[in-house]
Amino acid sequence: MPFQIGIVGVGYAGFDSMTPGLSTRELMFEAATRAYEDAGIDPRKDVQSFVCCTEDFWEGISITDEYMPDQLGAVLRPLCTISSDGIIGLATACMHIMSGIADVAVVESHSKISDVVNPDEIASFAYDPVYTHHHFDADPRFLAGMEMARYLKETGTKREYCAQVAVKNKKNALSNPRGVHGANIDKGIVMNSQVAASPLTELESSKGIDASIVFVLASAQKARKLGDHTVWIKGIGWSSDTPVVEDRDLARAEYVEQAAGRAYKMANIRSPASYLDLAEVDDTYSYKELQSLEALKLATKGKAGKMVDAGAFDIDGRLPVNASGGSLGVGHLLEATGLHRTLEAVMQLRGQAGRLQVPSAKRALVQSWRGIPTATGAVAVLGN
Amino acid sequence: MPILEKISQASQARHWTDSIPLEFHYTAGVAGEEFRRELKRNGRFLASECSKCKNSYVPARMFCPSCFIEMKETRTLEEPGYVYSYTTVNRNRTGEPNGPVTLALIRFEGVKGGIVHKLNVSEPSSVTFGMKVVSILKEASARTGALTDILAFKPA
Repeated sequence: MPFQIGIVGVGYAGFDSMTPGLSTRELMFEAATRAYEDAGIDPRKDVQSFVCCTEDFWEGISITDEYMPDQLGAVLRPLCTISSDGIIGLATACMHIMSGIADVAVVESHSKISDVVNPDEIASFAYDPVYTHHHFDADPRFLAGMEMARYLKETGTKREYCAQVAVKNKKNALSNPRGVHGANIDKGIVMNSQVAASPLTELESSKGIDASIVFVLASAQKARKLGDHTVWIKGIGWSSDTPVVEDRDLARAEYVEQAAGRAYKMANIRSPASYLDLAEVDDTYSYKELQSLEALKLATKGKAGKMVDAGAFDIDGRLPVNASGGSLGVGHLLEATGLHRTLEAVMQLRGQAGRLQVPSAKRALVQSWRGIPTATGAVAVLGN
Repeated sequence: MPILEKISQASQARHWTDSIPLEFHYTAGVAGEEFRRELKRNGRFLASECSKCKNSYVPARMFCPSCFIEMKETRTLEEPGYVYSYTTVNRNRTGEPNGPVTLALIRFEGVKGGIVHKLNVSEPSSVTFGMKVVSILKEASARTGALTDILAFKPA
C-alpha cells in the first residue's frame, strides 16, 4: 500500500522581523488555535501525540521541551521535542501515526529570533569546540562562503547565477503576505551589497524572522473524516552528514541527495523533475538553492544556475522553485524553516496561495537544511 | 482571533534581559591527546589511519566515520597542505566589524579532514584553490598543544 499521511490542518502566527507584542508561548498558542480550527479538532480530546522542534540555545532556556505543553493544549498528553528541523518533526509524527500510537498528531516549531541578543555567537558555538571554534574569531558564515566558493569552482557555475536566486526569491516574496524580505532588485544590487563571507553577500544571506507554525497530521482513515482539504505526505526522508566540517565535500549537499533518495523511493518517483509541479527548497543562502536543486535531481550537476538565470524556476517557469519567496524573500525561521516551506506548499496544493498560486498544482516537494554548521537535511513529497 | 485583547501600544511591549553563564571543559580524549602532544612537542599534525578503508584523517581521531571501527595507526603529516576552499569575512563572531580576515580549509594530499584557519596573505585575491600552504606555529616553549598553537597558515 502506498505511504500516505494526511496534513489536515495548518496554522501560523507572526511572520515579522519582530513580534514584541506576543511572548513565544502566546505566538505558539495563536498558531495552534488556528491549526486546530483549520483541522476541526479539539487538542484536548483528539490528539494522541504532540511533537515540537526546538533547540535550547535559540530558546534561551534549558530543557525547552518542558515548556511546550500548555500553549498547544498538550498538558498531560504525550509530547516530545526533537532538536531538529520541522520536516524531521513531521517525519516523527508520521512514525507515531504509522506505529498506531496516534491517529492524529500535531507538529509545532517556531522562531523568536528577535529575542536572541547574540545569534551569531550561538551559531559560532555550534562549531566543534576543540577543532573549529577557538582559534579564530570570525563571522560564523565563513563556512557558507567556503561552500559557495567550492560549489562555484567545481560546477563552473557563474557567480551571478547565485545572485539571480536572491533576485527571484525576493521578487516572489513581494506577492506573499508573509514575505518580510520581499524586494524588487537586480543582480547588480545583490552582488554589490556588503560582503558576508566572500563570495556570499548580505543580500544572498537570509535574515531571521519570528513566527510559529503548527501542523495537524492524521492517518489516512482519520483524514478522510476531517474535512475536504487534506494534503498528503507521500514520501519523507532525512539524513545527516558528518559534523566534522573539515571532512565534508563542501561543493555538494550529500545529505540532501540521501534524504531525497529515500523520499522519492517511498513516493515511487523515478523522474522527480517531470513529476513535480513546484518545489520549496533550501535557500538559506543563494548558492544553497542551486546546490539543493542539483542534489534533489531537479537540475543536472552544474546546470541549476543556468536554469535559474533562464527563468526555468520562476513562478511561470518549468518548475516553480520557492514561489513563496523562500528564506531569502520571506525570512529564516531557525528550526521552523522546514515547516515554513511545507506551509507554503500546502497552501499551493489547496489552491489557497493567492497571487503566488501555481495553476493546477498537485505535487510538491519541500526540503530543508538545519543551517550552519550542520549537514542535516530533510525532504518530503506532498500531493493533493 | 485566538487572543482577544492584545497589546496595542509599543510602550507596553516589555521584555526582560538575562544571560546564561556557561563554562565547559571539553575533554581532548585519547586521539585528541595524541594530536595535541605531537603538535606541542614536534609542531606536526597527527593523522589517524583506518585499517579497513585505508583512509587517513586529520586531526587524529579514534573512530573511522566510514567504517565505524577504531583507528589505531597514526602518522605525522610531513608535506605542506593546500587550500581546498577559502573565504574572506569582515565581522567577528559577535557581529562587530573586524577584518578583512581570510580563512581557508586546509587539506593535505591523500588525507581526509583538514584544518580551518586564517590565511596570512597580503591580498585576499591572491589566494587560489590548491595553493600550497604551511603553518605558522608559536615557539615550541609557548605551545600548549591546542589549535591556538597555530597562528595561521601562509603560502609555502
